[in-house]
Amino acid sequence: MKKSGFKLLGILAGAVMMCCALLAGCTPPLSSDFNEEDVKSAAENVITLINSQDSEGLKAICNVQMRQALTDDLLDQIYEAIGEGGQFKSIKDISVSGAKDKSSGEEFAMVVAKAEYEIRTFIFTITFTKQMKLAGLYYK
Amino acid sequence: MTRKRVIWFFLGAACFIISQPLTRLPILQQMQQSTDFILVYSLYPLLIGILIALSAGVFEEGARFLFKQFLIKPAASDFSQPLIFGLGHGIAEAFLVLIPALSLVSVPELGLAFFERILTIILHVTLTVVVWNGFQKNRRVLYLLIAILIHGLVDSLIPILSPLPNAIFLLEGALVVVDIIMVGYAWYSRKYYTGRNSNEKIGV
Repeated sequence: MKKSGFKLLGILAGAVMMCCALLAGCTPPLSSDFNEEDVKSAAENVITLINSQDSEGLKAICNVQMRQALTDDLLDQIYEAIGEGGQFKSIKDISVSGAKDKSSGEEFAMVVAKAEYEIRTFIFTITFTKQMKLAGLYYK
Repeated sequence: MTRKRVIWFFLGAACFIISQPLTRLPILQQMQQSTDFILVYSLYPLLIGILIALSAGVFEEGARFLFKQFLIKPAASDFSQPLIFGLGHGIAEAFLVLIPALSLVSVPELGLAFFERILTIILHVTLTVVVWNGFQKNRRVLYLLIAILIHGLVDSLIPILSPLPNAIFLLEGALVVVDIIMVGYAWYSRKYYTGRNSNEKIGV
């Protein structure tokens, strides 16, 4: 019983962790309309534009909805919050997957990037349309 | 006898500390550092939330099982043993949850949090009874799996109900219902423990 008890617990703990790991590896694939490297570069560009507080540059790559949402006040709030992280150092990790809007059926590319700054690390979640327009931006 | 009960209580507390702050939470924190994990969590928040909830059942019930299997012997025991062990487990968790909150808000403002902790302590006590029942009936793995499932389902209510309006009251209400059922089951389970006081022995 001792051996089987340990074995069972190992299997259960492993199963839960494996599920998470497998799910992490089984994200929806990118639509063939996207190129993964281009998506990564575009996400890095968004972070660069935020770091340089380039509002015009950001608005230029947004889709219509995002351009309306990204007001100057909101952008100032974003710059202030990111500025509290100190000097940008590097992007430590980046992951890409496909995503689909259930109501419209539109396919997107979703990027999660871990950006390291002097004081803290920010996680950016960035979404692009097939035309590589910025359709979503979230950070924490 | 009193000394044994004090030991059971502190073993219950140690069981929580080992299974959660020292094991599960560091693993989860490590996973949350991964952009792959964040990505999949963003895409499937409910599914990942339920898996995380299930992992609490695996770690906490698994730890209870191991403590009973290796540290608290013999298998047959007095009914007070799971009650005291579960109380230690639940109170340890309550301390770790409430003490940081006390530094942020006053005691009267923590009313709902205290109520929730009391419900959680009751759940821990009754889940310990489920794991212990497996030892009394010599169907250890089956009862361990049942305890994991119940624990996982109760914790799954958090990601399931959180998006709804009045989520806190729904969660507390659901916990009250689960507690009533579990207390009824624990009361029913007393018969598995009757007349076994004399054989108790603690192997720590």
